[in-house]
Amino acid sequence: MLESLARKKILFVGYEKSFAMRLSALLNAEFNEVGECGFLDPITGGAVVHFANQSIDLDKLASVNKLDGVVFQSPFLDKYIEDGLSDLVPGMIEACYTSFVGMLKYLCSNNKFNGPASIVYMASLDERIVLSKSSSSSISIQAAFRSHLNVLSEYLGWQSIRANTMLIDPVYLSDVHGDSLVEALTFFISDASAYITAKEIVVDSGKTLHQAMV
Amino acid sequence: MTEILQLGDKRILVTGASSGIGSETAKVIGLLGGEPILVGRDEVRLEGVLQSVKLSGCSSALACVADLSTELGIEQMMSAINEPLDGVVFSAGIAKHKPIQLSGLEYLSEIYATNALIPQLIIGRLIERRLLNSDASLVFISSISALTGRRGTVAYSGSKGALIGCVKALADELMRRRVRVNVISPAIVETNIWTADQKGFLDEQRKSYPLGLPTVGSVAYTIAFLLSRSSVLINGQNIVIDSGCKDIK
Repeated sequence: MLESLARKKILFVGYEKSFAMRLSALLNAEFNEVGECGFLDPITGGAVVHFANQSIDLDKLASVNKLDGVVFQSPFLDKYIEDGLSDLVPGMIEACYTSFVGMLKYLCSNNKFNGPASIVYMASLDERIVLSKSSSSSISIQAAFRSHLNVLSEYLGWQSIRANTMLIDPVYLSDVHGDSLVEALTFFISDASAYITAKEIVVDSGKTLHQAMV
Repeated sequence: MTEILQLGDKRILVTGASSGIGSETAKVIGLLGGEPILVGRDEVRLEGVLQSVKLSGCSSALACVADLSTELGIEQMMSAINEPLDGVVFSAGIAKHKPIQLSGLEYLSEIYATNALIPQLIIGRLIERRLLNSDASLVFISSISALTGRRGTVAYSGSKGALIGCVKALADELMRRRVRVNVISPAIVETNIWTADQKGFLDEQRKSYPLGLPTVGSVAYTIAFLLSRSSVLINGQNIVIDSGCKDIK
């Protein structure tokens, strides 16, 4: 079930280039940057698109076809809007919700998937824990896309596409733990998780077990 | 490709290994380089699974015939563990259904003991006798029944729900020993336990499962993931394998 992973073609939509490169290394694929986005294609069939800025140009995806998976990585993993009424909020909604939904629609309506496929949304664990009112906007925006995926999961499921969210303690994005995180992500892309969908998987080593979830 | 999901030389105890999810998990552990210790009541079936595991290249697999519903059986199993374990899969369980008014104490005790109490008892013994390595991973098998309501399954659902609560507390309790504890909750799984006359039921169920009925192989690989270092950041979690079915019957 995992042997076929190296042949998979995966689109990576996010803001952590180093993470995308670690994923591509695990998949034994090559990473090439094209214009504003890193685009990995290749010999092994793996594909990673990394968007370095907030505007996603869907035209860049015209040549991408037969995807086996998409990884959305929320920029909120390492960037917070401290003020819930900040002028930055509309931009972040655009970056992390509107753009992601737009891309999802583009991929589905243009038949970009290769039959069974896996969508993984990498969100911050902070979504599930009320840390402070200052992170309210980040939490809300993430929850919106997570809910969007969950609600869509039945529709996607009948097209053999599954969608899950990994709620990640941001500390595990560091290089020290990054490979473990990439390995966990790899499982949810692989065929081994073929029947898991519309789920939230907490990735925090059990750190928040005592905390009531909201 | 960097090897992922490897269980190289990990010694993993699998209860309920003579059939269903347990036997498939034992085979997958062997395929991924682990050393499973198979525990089951049915000697003939257990031997068959053991041979299958060995044929796949895992010559170090062991089998222990033991009835874990008895103190004697638990001790027989403990005696077969001569080195600390790197993982345990609690796959032994029973699925009997009755209306609540027909559920006597004996019936309830049997279900709760087999599905929820004995796994806890075994963990206690393994800790007490220092038979769990640091970095070990424990995996419980609950059920979607713990999360949904269906008539006639009160005891079964309750016992499987107890496992989920137990896992949360155990994960916290064993964290200082660097032992991880997780649980999976499969929905209806395609296994060889279904008889020919249940085919119609399964066909009907398939209509509700967008991604199809989970296969026993996919469940076994999910367990293997939780046993492996690839899941080192996942602890105290319940992984539901239901293909996105919103109406579990």
